[in-house]
Amino acid sequence: MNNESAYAQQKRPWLPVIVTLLIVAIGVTWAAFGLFKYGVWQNRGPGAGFFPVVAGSGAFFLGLIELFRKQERAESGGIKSIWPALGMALAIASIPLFGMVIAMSIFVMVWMALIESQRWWKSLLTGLGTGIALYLLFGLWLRVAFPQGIIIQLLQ
Amino acid sequence: MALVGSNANAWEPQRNIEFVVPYSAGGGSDLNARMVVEAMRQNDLVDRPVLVNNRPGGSGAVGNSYVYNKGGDSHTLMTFNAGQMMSTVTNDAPVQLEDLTPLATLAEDTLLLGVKADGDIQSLEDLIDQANSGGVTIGGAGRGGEDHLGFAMLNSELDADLQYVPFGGTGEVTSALLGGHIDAAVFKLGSQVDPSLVRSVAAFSDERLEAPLDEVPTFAELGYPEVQLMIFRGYAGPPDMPAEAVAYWEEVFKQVSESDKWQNDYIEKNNLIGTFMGAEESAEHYRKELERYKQKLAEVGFVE
Amino acid sequence: MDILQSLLQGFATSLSFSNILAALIGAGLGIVIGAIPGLGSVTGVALLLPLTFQMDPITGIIMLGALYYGCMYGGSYSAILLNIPGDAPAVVTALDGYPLSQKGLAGKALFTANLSSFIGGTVGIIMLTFLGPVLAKVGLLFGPAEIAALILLALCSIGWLLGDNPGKGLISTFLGILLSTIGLGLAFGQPRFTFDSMYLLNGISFIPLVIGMFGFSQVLDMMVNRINTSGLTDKLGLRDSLLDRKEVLRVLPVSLRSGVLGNLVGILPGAGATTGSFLAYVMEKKVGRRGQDLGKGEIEGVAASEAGNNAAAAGSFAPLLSLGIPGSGTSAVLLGGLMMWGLQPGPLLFQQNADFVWGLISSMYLGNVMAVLAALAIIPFLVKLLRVPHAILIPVIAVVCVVGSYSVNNSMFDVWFMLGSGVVAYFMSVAKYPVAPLLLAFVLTPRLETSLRQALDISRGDPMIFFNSPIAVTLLSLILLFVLYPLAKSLFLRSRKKSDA
Repeated sequence: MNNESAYAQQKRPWLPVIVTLLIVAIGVTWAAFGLFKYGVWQNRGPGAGFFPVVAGSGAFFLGLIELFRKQERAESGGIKSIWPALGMALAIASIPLFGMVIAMSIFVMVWMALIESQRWWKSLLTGLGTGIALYLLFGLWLRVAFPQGIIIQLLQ
Repeated sequence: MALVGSNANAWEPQRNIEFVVPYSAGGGSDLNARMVVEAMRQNDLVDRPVLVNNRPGGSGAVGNSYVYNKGGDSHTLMTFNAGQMMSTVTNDAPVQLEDLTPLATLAEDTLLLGVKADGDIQSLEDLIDQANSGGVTIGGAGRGGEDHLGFAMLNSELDADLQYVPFGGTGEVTSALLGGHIDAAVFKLGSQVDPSLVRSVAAFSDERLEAPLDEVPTFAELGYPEVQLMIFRGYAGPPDMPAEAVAYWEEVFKQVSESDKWQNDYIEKNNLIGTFMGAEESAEHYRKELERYKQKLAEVGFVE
Repeated sequence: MDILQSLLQGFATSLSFSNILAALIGAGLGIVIGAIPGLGSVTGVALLLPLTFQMDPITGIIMLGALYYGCMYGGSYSAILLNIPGDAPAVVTALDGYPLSQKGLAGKALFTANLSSFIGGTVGIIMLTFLGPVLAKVGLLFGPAEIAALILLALCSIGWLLGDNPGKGLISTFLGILLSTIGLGLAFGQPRFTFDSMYLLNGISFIPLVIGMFGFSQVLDMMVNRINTSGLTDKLGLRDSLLDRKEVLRVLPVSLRSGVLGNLVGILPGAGATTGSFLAYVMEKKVGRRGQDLGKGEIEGVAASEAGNNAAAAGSFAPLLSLGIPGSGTSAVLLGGLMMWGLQPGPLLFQQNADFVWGLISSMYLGNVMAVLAALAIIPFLVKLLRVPHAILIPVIAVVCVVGSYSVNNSMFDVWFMLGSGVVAYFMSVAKYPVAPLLLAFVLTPRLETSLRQALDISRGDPMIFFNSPIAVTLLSLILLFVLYPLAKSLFLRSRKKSDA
């Protein structure tokens, strides 16, 4: 554990609480669906709602207990790591436009250049290398049907 | 040069063909598609490469929707079989039969009712006797699939106390049957269960099967003409596929069905029944079957 | 000694130059396919199957068998090096494999994985050779009631992995059960929690979930907590990867007993390699000398999981060859292959195509040896992966996560799902909820639910089906003994402590 995460922990003790609250909410939803919609007992045995109710109420009650316990120190810093996830989301969203291979190459280039502040030629080469490797391994050899993207289709 | 290219007005593929399989790699539909592609390649039936694209999910619904969204495209094909059509009914899927363009039907499978070879039950009569004295459990692969439909037919015609037990696949059904955990099981003819282990007491086919199963009576012979199920394996395209393209693919599939590769390596080795139905005949056949499935599934309360 | 003679005959058939070459190629391809997250042996065998039709059947099956083994080896690599399990059994391998990697012992972990895979696989094959038909018959004794009891035992054993905070571990287990109820299960005819999406109709797919929860959350974590790799990189040569004599002696007994257990579990219809490797790991945790330390990065943990899952893979061939019943997804694909070659698996196969069967069994030995050779050649290159600077490693792993989760079902939905579960798992780990119990519960629950429902359908609702079977009763009492006893003891101790105070 480094200083940064200890800092994050001091600053955001509410993060674990939110996670546990969400779990409690999910638990109660599942249990309610199981109880009222799917049926706990059918055909003289556990019904479709049985496991949702057992596990849902389990998550609900244990989650409540967890909320009232002393919160432990969280392991790593929180919100900052949302940025890479958002960047990835953007890249995935651009797949219908560029196609899988090109979108992923651009992702690697942009990531290395902007987030990791690498030299531009290094980023460019790694991005190109990733693209070529993906194309050879998945596209040619394994025949994975990657989305091609509007741009490639227009070129064809 | 493609065989069907002689007519100057005929449609010809202009780019790569996408052959959609709505199930995972390695499954029955996948094998079927890959064999079709191989037969097309060996006999130079299509000028452009045909690429298999697995789109599993939603019991076929994901693949169906994928093809549906390519409306009017002549370069997209898909495998279309009885189970896939059934799941559109049982799951009330967004894409139904009328949203697709049937192209051809090349093979049929059917069901067998099997019991343990060295068990007490030796015939359908024994099975009904036991059902009336204490009930009988019948296993099958999957819930809401062909095996379940076969069971539904038995249940509504046989007038006996039957209980269906769904399993994850033919392998698990066979294990349960041989271990004596269930009394009987519904098998597909194509799953080629060993006759020295499992005795087939009756067949769901419309006529007697070929040797070595020619000894097995059909349900019709035993007095239950309503218990009949032929499981088709066909192909379809997106909605509004142009008539010229439909004619092109119909001809290609006809050539495939006549090729040695298809006859020897697919039909014979998978123990299926070879057939050929063109686009119109297939569409008509699917419509009729769909009505029958709906009715049978409703009788057992699977759909409303 | 009839079996031995047949086996030697089999070796005579399989040990030709072209067959050895086929095995080597198959093993190499398998390792690569297995190491790519999202691709497993089912895909590998399915991809290679059409190619083998041009070959002699024995050469073909040797290649496929070697590929199968190669995939099992490869699946553990990404689990150990990157904490991205390539398939479900590798989740268990990651429990100790990745901590070892973080300690700078990646080479030793990889080598242990290979050695124990080899031993486990060999144990499995030897049992298959000499006891195959007998074991297959024993497997038939396991009906739905017995399988339900076995899976329940495995599910309850997750309790032993919970670590420092049992409450959070249990919550995580419950979350896994909740996720597994999504979709249209075999047990019930109605779709649950699908919110009318056809993508959820068949439930959540495991590989995108595991890639997200392990792999992508790892990427997010690396962004914040950069592991300082400079101190670790000195120990990555081949010499440091080899196990010393003492370590081999630690791995050996673990691999042997895990191999026997895994093999037995693999034979059971529908139990699967994950149950095999997980139960082997749990057994090690209970009886092993370093049991308590498992999960913190011990080679015994890697050994138990890998030996267990390779032996289970061999075990799944017993019902295939002697009864024609595929025991796993891959052997189902292989069954398709056998039929394509015009062979009918079943009791008659041993009589009618004896040379083929023994050729196949001997090829498993061959495939296993080839896989270990190919793997040894690859390890030194693999550990170099850890020397790649984080600036490159992080975006590339992120891309592998995306491509891997796409390739399973060719589905963009799976890619988004992977991303989502990665973010969720990241925040779970920030809040100190362990992820492994969730994944194991996710794999095991549907099997339990299905078997439970099947058993009660068979007995028409009579719960006595679980108590009339000696096997089920034994397994259920094991659960009581192993799970409830320590729980009761700790509760008792705690209350006594309180009263003492």
